[in-house]
Amino acid sequence: MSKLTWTVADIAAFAAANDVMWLSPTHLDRFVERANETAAAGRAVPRMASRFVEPAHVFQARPTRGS
Amino acid sequence: MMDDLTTLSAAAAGRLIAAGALSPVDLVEAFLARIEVVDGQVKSYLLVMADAARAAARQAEQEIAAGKWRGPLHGIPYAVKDNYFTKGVRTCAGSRLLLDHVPDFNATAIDRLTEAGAILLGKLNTWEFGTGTGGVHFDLPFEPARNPWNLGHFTGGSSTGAGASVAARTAMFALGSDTGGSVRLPAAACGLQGIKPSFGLVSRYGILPNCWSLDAAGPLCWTAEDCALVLDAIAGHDPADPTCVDRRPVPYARGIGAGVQGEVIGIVRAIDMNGIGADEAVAAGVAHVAATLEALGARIVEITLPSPLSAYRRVTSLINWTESLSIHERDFVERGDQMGQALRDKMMSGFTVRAVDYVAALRVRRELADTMDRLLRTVDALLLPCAFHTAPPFADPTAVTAFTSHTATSVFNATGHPAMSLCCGFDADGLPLSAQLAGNWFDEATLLRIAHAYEQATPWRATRPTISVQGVTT
Repeated sequence: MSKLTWTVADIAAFAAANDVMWLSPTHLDRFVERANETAAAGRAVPRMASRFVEPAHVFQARPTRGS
Repeated sequence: MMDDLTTLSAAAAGRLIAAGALSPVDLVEAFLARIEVVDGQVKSYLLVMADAARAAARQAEQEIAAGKWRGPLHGIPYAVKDNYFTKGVRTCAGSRLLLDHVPDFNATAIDRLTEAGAILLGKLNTWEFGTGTGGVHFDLPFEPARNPWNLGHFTGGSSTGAGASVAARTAMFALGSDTGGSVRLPAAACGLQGIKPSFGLVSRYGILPNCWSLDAAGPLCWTAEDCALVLDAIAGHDPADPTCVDRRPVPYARGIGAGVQGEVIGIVRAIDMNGIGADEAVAAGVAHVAATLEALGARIVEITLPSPLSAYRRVTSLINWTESLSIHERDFVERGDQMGQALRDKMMSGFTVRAVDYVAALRVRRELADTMDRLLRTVDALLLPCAFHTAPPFADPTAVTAFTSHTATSVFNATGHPAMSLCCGFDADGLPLSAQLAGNWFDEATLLRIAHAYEQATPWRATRPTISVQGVTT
């Protein structure tokens, strides 16, 4: 499982590599907070035991009543 | 007299118009007058379309006089969240990035309401792009909408103006959009009934997308019957929306008064978001709904959700952050500093989601939907809290964020089932309490029938908020 954590230097480099050039120091600090919360959220998503469980690419609810 | 017209439900006004006892011109003028008087304080609108509304009202009056009555919404004034595209009319979604954006087509839902004869009054306040992180930062080009029950309090989001307008009687009904609760939470905060339909029931075409996998369009109304009438007009297949299901529409308003005798309703009492449960008053309100429905002949059974609320929230957050960034990536990269903090924060989250985590969330989503469906097949509806708190004051930013976070709404965005917010009384400060009904896929009719039965048995629809304007209460 990922142990990813972000630092200000990481985010600054990642943002610059992706052409995000407007970040102030305050923005960078906030970006680090959000990135680390996001990494934690990603880690917390359980993985499917079976390789056959497909993602809901385009979710379609199925009628079960009154149809 | 003019002001009294704004207290009618859409259904009641529609019946009067059909009977020739109410003029659509008078009705629209009453709403425009009320907007003029109170909206400087409520701030429900970003743009009022007075001239177009007057012209449409005259046309409605002429059509009805000529015997061309279009149905129960003919001549009924409404408004839409400003993420609904309106042909030739600015649609900025509350953002300084889109202040000059004028679409060249209408959202499908607007076209369908026009066909039904409803009259669009204007564009309603919203969180930027109809999304955010739960906080209000007072950094958008428009001031936030205010809660008509207490102007110092939050409306819930993101359909802020939709909630405020119907409660303040500046619109007879409103359309919002709901990715994690954005129809149901403003309805809850503002004492309305708001329904997020089944995923795929109502076309999202022409609504600025927020998250393709979770977005739903739905009405906020004073009554369940009004919600039914709006769904009757807007539900149904639209080939322009690839997620819109091709199935024969169910009539929602017809049969709404059939009662709840014999219905099996599962109440979810033990529920919390990361250890935070519903306030005592909210829990008492939900219990009151159950007791009332039981007295009306429903059978109440105790139910536990298949997964904790945090499981649904985690999945919907990852999907939402990722897809939202995909939609707005260019704006974030080029001018994210011009976004409000709430939208920018969300974009930052999306920017660092790992692809494998996003796909894992989509895989779990399918499982969550299937397990919820198996549970829902054992009952006719679920009853549970909606917002765990009443509308907080803007002066308490932590409470504002908590209002959006401590909810049981994103569950049904994850699973795609229909869910509606139901006003179930008021707390000691006079702020609305809310419950939530959820049902089987495409069985909105049952939810609306249950909500209608509860309304008829309780006094809550008789109380409207009053707004003080220069010392005069209106």
